[in-house]
Amino acid sequence: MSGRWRRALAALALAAMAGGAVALAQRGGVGGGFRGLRGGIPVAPNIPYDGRFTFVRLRYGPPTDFVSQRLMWSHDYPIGEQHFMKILNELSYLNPHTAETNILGIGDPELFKYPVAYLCEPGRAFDMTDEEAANLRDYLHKGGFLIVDDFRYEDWGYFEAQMRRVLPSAQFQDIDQTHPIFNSFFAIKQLEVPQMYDQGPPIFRAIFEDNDPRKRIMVMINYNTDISEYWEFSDTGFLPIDESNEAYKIGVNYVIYGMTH
Amino acid sequence: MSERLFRFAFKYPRFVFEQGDLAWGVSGPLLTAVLVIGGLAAAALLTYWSVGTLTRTRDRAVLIALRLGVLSLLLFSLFRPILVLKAAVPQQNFLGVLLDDSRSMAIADRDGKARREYVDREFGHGADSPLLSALAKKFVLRYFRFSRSADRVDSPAGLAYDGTATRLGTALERARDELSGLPLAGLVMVTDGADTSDAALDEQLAGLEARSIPVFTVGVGRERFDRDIQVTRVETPRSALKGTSLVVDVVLSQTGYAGRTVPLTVEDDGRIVSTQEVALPDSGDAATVKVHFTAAEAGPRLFTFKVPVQEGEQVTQNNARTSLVEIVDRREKVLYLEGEPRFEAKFVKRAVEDDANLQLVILQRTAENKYFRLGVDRADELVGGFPKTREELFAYRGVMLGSIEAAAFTPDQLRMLADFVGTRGGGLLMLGGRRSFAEGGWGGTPLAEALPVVIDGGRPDASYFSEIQARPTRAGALFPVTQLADGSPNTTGWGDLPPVTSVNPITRVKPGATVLLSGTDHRNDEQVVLAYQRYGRGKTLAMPIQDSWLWYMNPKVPVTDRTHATYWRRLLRWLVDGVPGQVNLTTTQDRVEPGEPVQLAAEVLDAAYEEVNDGSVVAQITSPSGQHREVPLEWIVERDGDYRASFVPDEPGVYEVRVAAARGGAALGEDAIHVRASAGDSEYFDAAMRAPLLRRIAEETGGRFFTESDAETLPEAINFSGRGVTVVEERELWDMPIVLLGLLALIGAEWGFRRTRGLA
Repeated sequence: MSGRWRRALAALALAAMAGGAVALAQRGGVGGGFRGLRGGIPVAPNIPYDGRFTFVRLRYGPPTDFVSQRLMWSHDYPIGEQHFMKILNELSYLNPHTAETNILGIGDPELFKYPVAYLCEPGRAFDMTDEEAANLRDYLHKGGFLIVDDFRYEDWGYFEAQMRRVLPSAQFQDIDQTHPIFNSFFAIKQLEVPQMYDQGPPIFRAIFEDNDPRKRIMVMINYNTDISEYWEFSDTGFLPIDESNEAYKIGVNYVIYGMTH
Repeated sequence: MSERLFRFAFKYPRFVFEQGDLAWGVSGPLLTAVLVIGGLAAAALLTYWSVGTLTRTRDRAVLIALRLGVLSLLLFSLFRPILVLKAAVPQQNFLGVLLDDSRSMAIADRDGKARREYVDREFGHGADSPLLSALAKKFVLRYFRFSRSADRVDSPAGLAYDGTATRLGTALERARDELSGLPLAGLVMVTDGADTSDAALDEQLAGLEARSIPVFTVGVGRERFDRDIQVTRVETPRSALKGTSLVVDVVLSQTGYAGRTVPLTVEDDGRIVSTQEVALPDSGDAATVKVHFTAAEAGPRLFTFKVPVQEGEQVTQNNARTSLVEIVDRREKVLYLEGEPRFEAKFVKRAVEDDANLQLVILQRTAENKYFRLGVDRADELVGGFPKTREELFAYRGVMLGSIEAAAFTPDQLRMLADFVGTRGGGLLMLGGRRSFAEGGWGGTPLAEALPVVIDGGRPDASYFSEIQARPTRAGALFPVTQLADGSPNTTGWGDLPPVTSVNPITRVKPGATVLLSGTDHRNDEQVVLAYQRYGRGKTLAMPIQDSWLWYMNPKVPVTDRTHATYWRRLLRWLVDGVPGQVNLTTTQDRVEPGEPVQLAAEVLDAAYEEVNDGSVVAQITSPSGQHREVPLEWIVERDGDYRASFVPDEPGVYEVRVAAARGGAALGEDAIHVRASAGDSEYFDAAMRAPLLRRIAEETGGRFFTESDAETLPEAINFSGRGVTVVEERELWDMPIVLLGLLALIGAEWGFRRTRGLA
């Protein structure tokens, strides 16, 4: 990363920190998710498609008006994606919606208007109907790009079992910083990725189109780590700026890659 | 009145009257006698007024009129009317006889008899030939045979009728030159008139008229066949990119088979690549059929468009046409500059990535002065962003501009973009987006002038957003790129495609532009979806929508659907279709007769597409048998960058001509074409006798047009044409049968009138 981009990220993170203490108190501290709010956080209505980039979080399970720590797919909503979109807006010409983000069910036909989507904590609670699995399969085959984040080492089996319903012949292949996805915007020379969890290194896995590593990544999996946690708490000052920067860099590269490959 | 009846009544053919002058042969004493008789007759007429039994004025008037008629006819005869003619002096004048010996003269459309039989009968048997012997009595005859060329022959017997072309102008010119200086009564041209050359006859006819040489044309054959199907025209491109889905217009015409359905097949060097059933048009009408097929094999491909011969056809050789198409197997490089991260670039790239003949180079601006590159050939290609020199930009054959504002370019780059189209001849496509068209500040730029849509003066409208259901216009429904539902199972018709969106309100196009796709927006305005126009040497396209990828990503569209990919492949292939290179080799025709010279012309340009006049340009010619020869091309001073040469094919088959150009030892580029040397079949197309053309030749030169039915009067017509060495002849007219018939009619009418009125 050039010094210029590094300075830009640092400045953004510091500015965000200034007003972050109150927000942290509301959210109950790092790793606390929604503990500060009784009854959870209200889900903002989705905005209709208008051609601009909109962050889409996938929901497994029934629709809800409020989200809480109990709903694994909603962790870090909405602060995590809002911070991430603000960073993307400042750093790039993406021009995304920064305040408004969407939550779509895996089987929602609207998903096809947003070829980059985010799936959070697809661990033991992750489940789909056959129709939803088929919808996600079509989405990925047509060109959709799925970012999977925030699930622990011991939850891999649950995730793999569900993904095999989507892509029965999928091969999960570990990738490192030499893959183009880590050079799509920032040149990430080393995956100095923060480990939010308590054991083992973070693992970066991908499902390639036709299982061919020379082709595009359809599903990018941050396994045994929680990148979006840094997005959420980057304005609190409780996490190191450098680590937050690395988390943002990875996220920015994922989105740019998903929009170009 | 038919010519035969005219001749019976007036004693001579009509043209004799047209050529002669009327005079009166009455002598002085006779004139006195006539006047006396006339006076007495008039006095007698006046007695009618005093006849007491004629009580009604009308009866008197009728009888006087009848008597005056009789008197006039008598006076006309007594005055001895004479036709004064200039008649050719026998055997003092030459007459050129031009006989068509092309293949079309073998067509049997004269009640089952070939046209050549007429020529052989009238000219081919010496003294036994009626027309020939009649002409020979009055003129010294000189014979010419003509088809592709014209030659003097000693005798009209033994014509081969194997000429593969008919060039009337060449034949007239040859005969005129050959007989110049001789007392010439005229030229007789016996032909079906089925000229196969594209050249106009104006020059030759003016030359003949200036020299007072009348041409007497004799049309042989029928003006319209009873039963015939003809592949009239096939419009194929001279070259196409391998794998291109070609749509070729085939024009069929017919007589005698109206309403019949026949198969139209396309063969690629003998292999059928397309078949479709075609309902034939009404007799005499032409029907244009669009034929779809794919140019699958690279190289010079000979495509044959064929309708099977139907029973009873008078000409079977015109049911097929062949066309040589250069199928080029190269990667055409298109630069796609996208001004922001967005999905359009990703899906366009996916749509064309399987196309081995398209190389899409994507330069996507992700942030300020930060670009993401895909599909580049070299590590340093476009590393500094958009090309800054003409040489760098003109290396691409097509340019796509995504959502990028005009302010991102320097003034020189903006000029370069317009020159890329106008001077270099490239294809440029501007896509919709929040930084495109008026919203991107493109109004008033050099490119705005080149674009097919009107954005000058259009105010940016940042709030505009509309869903649009694209549909083809009338032009788009027939256009190869936008004809999506071509029968392929994996393509969808426009009506079934999902809507897309636009943030650029564009409803007006330039006068020379064509709208191929449009749709109604939320304001009920007709929004342009795809339009194009020619600009200078190239073309510009405008597609002011921002997310054509919805045509594929929409969940109702099956994963296997290829509509979006097909559309983009066709669009980009069309974008670079016909884009010239630095060396552009052309010939005037892709087929010549063996022995006929092939004219080569090469345009040579440098990397900035400036004409090169000091280049070294050499053609490597490979004959069908594999023999090589080199022919240098020379710069013609009249035009910059234009080099010419010619060569003569000496064996039938397909020749490869590969031209390489260099300057100062540095290669500028090369180009290759193929030329076919073979006997043509053009003689069988539009082979009906062309009376209008032959009549025009005759009338403009002072001659006369004849058909087989009245050709026996040809000698007389030439005799009185007044050309050559002539003598004045007088022909008495008083004894014309029409005079006697007139007298009898008038006298009979008077008698009848008297009977009915009770005056007899």
